[in-house]
Amino acid sequence: MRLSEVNVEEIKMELANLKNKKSSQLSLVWKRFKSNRLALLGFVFVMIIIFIAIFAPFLTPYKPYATDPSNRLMGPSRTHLLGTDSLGRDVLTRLFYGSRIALQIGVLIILFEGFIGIMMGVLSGFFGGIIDSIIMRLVDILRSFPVIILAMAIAGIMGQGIYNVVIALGIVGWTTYARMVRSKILSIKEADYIEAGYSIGESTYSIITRYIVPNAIPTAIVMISIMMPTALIASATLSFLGLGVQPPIPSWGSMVAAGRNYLLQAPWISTSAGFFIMFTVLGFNFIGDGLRDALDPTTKH
Amino acid sequence: MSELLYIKDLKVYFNTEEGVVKALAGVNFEIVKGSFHGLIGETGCGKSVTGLSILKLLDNNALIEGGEIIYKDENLLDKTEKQMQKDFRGNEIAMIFQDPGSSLNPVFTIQDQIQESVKMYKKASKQEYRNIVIEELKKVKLPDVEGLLDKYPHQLSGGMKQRVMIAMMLACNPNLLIADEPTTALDVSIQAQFLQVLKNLKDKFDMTVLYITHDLAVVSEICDYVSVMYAGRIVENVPVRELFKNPVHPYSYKLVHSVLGVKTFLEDLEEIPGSVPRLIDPPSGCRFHPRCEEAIDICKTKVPQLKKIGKNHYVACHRR
Amino acid sequence: MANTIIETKDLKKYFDTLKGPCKAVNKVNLRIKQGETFGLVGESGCGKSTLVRTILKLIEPTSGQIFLDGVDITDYKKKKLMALRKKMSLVFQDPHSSLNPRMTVFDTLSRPLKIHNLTKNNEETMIEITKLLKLMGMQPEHMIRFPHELSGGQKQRIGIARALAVKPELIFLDEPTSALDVSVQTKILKLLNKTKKIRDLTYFYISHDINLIRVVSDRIGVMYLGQIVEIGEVDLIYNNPIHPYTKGLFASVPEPDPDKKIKGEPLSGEVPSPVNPPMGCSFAPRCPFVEPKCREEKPKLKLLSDGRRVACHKDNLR
Repeated sequence: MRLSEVNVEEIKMELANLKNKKSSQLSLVWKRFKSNRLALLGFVFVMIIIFIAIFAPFLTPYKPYATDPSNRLMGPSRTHLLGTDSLGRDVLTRLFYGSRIALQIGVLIILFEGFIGIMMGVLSGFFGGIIDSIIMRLVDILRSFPVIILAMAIAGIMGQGIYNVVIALGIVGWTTYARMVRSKILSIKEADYIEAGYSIGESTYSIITRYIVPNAIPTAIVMISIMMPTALIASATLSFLGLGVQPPIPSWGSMVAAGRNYLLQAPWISTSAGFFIMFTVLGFNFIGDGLRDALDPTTKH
Repeated sequence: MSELLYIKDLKVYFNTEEGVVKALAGVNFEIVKGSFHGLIGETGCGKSVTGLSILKLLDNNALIEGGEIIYKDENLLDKTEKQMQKDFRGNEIAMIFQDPGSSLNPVFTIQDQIQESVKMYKKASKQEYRNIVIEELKKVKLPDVEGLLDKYPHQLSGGMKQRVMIAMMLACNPNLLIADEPTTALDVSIQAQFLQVLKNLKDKFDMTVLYITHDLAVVSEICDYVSVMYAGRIVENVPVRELFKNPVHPYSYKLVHSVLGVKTFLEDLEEIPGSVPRLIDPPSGCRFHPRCEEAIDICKTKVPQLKKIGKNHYVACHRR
Repeated sequence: MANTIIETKDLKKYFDTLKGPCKAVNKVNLRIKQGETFGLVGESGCGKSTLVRTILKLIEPTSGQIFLDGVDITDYKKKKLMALRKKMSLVFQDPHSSLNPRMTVFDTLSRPLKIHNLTKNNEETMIEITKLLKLMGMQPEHMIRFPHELSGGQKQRIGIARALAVKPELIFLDEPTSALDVSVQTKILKLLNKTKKIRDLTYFYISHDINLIRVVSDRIGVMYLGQIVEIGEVDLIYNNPIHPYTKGLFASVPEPDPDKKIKGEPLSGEVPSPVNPPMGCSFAPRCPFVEPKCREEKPKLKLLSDGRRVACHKDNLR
């Protein structure tokens, strides 16, 4: 075979194949994800919650704030599937609307702490030295506080409200991302392909964007899906403690707290809210595990 | 001559998500007491699996499909996990691995670790134990043995750790030592020292060793007898000198003539066309036939059996 | 006589450690001729990898000078350094870790072409990459593979193709076959040899394996604790090593030929730490022929009558 013999048509076909291949990478991840039953179950759980959150007004005839003093603490019946609470509001309706709050807070927390954490992790891992020291000591300091107590203090100072919950939890939450991303980047930095990149003349910017970040992205995605349930539980805890979302906005955490006083007469209030929290958290946990396996191309099956 | 270990038609499969990997498809060889037996082959040919099978240390997804491993007239494959642990592992058959660092417990001193092996068969006082441990360490020619006793593994170099590993294994007085690529992680000069220690043990204590490696030069240095393995089967059982003088199986021939040092010029080195087959769907018949220049029709359909072609020399090939 | 392509003068590279400077490369003087294959032998930690990376300017030298084609490149930065990357490239030891797992073969090979503007558009890049793949005995369809879809030998071919992409004059090969099986090793070595002739290259091999270095090299250097102890024509040194370290090192290499079993004493002891190298000759503590002078004064490389240089105090070097 002579080297000059290059079939341009054949090569063009390969170029087209290459584009297909890249899009098929995503479908490959989806295929692996699908083959994992628990992950698929988690995906279904989360889809159900998202569906409920979006279509809440159409799924129930009641309004979440409509009180009905004559029907207080009613047991589950055909009219009120999960009964009513101490103000006569339909529990199922409030749970449905509560999923909006839960997802909203969860996503905001993830975005907030994920963005800060990943940035800090990349900076600290890639540049090292004094930048690394400063960021990591800050992480140490923040992590030396018990998370919930620190969040309570912040929520206490800033007052209740969705955004304050996000800030209160995010201020500590980013440290987890920063640490994970940093250690991932430290290990990527040791790989020969980084040195290989430099040896062919790549710039520092290219090294970060083409070599380091793409290899750290799976870690970050998995982190996010694993941190989601943590964020949900933390925000529910704050609401439970009365420091989160203001009543009468329906949130699962505050519903568990409200139902606590009637645990014997009306156990459905706390338990059903607890069930919704568990259902969602479990869903995200399964997804996180599934993603971790699906995203790593080197995992041997 | 008496054989200490006799492996007959051993078949081991692995269940994986992609399918069943037929890792071992009929392994046959015997190890003569007091000899150094080399098991040689390229990555993924199943040589480590063979070693682990003898001690029944295979992963959970392994299936032993058939065959016998006869050790001193007993079939190890019939033994329960408890019997293996109590009667065979350590005191009869010991194994050392490639990475000496991860085989030693980092939180115990060298003395503690070797003493642990000694305790398995001997009760003694503290001072007696210390003396026994010192004796064991001297056997593997470690310098400054007294100073070594209270050190932790991380304070030793790779070569020293590997020797401590051997000392630990020898402390249980095994009859058979299985060494799985023990020098791959070591430098050449450290490897040379290690091989010296092994040779010395062979001369003094009449050790029997199964030496698993991909390095033909090492085999040539220390082994008496060699089994050449390809894609889960033994293709040739041969005395080591004979392997280098007169390799009979086409694969052995190519392998020997691709070793740097046997040949001086690059052009003289042999190449093997193609690449190692995937063992999920291995080639039919002789597993080497797709890469063999001498293959004929029968090679594609019939599995060649080992047949005797000389003194202690067996080969599995239809063309020989 | 061929031109000198690379030359180092008293090249030093010290790394800072908690216990003091680690003298990885300690005053190395080398001269590599255009078109030759030079082999550098030494055990792990002798500084051979650091030396190569310092010459490639992947790490900054502590002191000394590096000349490429007679031009001092020691202080080259940024733009000039980019030009340098086109003249010298590096092939790594471990093909598994030297390819970016998130890049296809096409991406990996297109990077050097794009960085140095060697091709104008995607189609040209494609053609160039196809040529490289064919040169490596691979097919255009391998372009769309990810590293984990390739075998070890194929990965190393891609690693070599990447080093060839910029059309360099000099290629450093850092143990290019030590992670591969013997049968694959032969193929890679022959491929490298063929490529050298086609592309008119200069090779700088580093390896711990004297048998490999002997088969591929014209001249060899033996390195110990950051210093060259013996350097010269390969056959001279292989058949008659003079420096006691070279002797010991060669004797330590397992000999595959059962008929050639007579050999010298292998090395005893272990390599001292480069943080605290011995006074005088760095090999003195392990040397079977040590004299008092060896412990006090560092020997310099001396030219012998057969053209090789040896750093040893012993006079009756033969």
